[in-house]
Amino acid sequence: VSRWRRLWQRERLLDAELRDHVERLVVDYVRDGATEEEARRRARLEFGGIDAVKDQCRDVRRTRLVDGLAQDLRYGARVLRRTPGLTVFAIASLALGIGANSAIFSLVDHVLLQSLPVRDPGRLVLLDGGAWTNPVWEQIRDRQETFSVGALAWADARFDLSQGGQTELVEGVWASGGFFDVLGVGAGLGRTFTAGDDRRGGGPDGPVAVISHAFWQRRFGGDPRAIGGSIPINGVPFTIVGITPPSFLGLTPGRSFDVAVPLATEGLVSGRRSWLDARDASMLEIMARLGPGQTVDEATQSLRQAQAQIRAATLPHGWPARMLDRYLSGPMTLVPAPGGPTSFRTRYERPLWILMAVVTLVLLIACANVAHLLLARAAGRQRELTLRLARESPGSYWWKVRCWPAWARCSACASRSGPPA
Amino acid sequence: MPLPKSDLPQGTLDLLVLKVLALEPLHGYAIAQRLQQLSREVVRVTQGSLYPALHRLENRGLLTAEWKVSDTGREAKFYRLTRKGRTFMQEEVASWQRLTNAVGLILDAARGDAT
Repeated sequence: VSRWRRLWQRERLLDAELRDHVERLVVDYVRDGATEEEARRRARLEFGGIDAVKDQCRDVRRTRLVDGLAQDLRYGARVLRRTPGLTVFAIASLALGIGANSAIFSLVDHVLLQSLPVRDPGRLVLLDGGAWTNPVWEQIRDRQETFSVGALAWADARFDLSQGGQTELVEGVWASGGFFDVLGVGAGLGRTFTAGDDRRGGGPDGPVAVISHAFWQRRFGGDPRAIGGSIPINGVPFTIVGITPPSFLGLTPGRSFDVAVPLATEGLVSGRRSWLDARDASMLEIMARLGPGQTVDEATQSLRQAQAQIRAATLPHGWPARMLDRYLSGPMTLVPAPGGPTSFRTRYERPLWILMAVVTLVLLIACANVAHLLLARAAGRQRELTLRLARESPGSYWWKVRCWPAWARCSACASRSGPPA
Repeated sequence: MPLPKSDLPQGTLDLLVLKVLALEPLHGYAIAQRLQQLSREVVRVTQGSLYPALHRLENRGLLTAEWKVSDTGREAKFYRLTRKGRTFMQEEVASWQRLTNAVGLILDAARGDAT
């Protein structure tokens, strides 16, 4: 900022200086007997283009700066060309360090830092306690208005899209009918599915599927005719009704879904092995959206009023009495989940941060290595450098005198903190 | 009747400016006037060459500038010779005199031959 201010200041002074000259010309002409207007005209004529003069004055500084810079760059390139081995090593180690950092950071950002790309993620809450069974979800679904403005459930799965002998496994999601509506994720193309589609055996359009933007691009090449087409999930044909926007990757951080289908169609696909009615198969994550002004605690209280009924209606068969007691008394708690399910985050948070720290260290070590190499070379080129410093212009003198000690200091610090890998 | 104006040889303007400023600090307009007076109207510098020259000399550290209130009551940029500028000017003057002497000798000798 101060650099721009200096530049602006210099411009202002240049302008003032030249204007002063013109004013003095005018005064002289007036003294010689010209009228004010005539004097002004002649002064302008004599002075010529004020902007052209300004430009020439600016050039005096500019060319010097650019010349110095170009000279330094040329010199740098020449040195690098002269030692290809060193150059390749330095560039490669820095590239590796920077590459690893950006890769890990994008993962950290995606899993730990970003909120879900949905409407108002701060209002989303998760039903704590890991996964829940479908009978529990059905009880909650029927009571969702009592504690929230909408609830949703989903389970991640692998879908087998194999057709005609070619195996194709994709990332699938069983999602409740309100999934997209409650999240506030509209369709990029076509429509998302609703509670009407979430019926056992399929809704009015039969079994329907919503696919992700990435899958649409990959599998259908972005062809809009994919909508209305059919994909077989474990041999059962589903009709594609819509495509999600590119930003929506699903609710599980670090995993992007390909195909989402209504939860109730699970029976259709899995047949006798379906877990829709299994009271001991905890498959589903359950989330809800808080109403305006509603707090997490208020929502939890409302949910707990219905908790006894929910638990009683979903008692697992054949469990020992002691475990049933614990099942009945376990409190249901809602927790804020602006970034999706917390279980995933808590599980990966520490390893990810450690990984981030490690790659940062790798970059530092790479820097230290490069600094060492350059230092070793600089020591070998002492005589040449001294000669250059003695006869070069002040601009590059500054760079070299200031930059070489900086390198030396950096690498000295790095070598004190540990041996380079 | 105005005398015909002479073009200044390359690099001479810098020397003349330095020489004029060796007497006292002046602003751009006064420098132009002074050059004109001292050369009895032969040397006329255009602003297009004077100001870039002043900025170039300032940039090289041969001149410093200062904003001061001038006779008109407004602030004007006064240029002053630095110590480096003074040394540079003395060297240039000496070298100029050597050159003009040498040129003079050659011209004189040539005239002697012709007569």
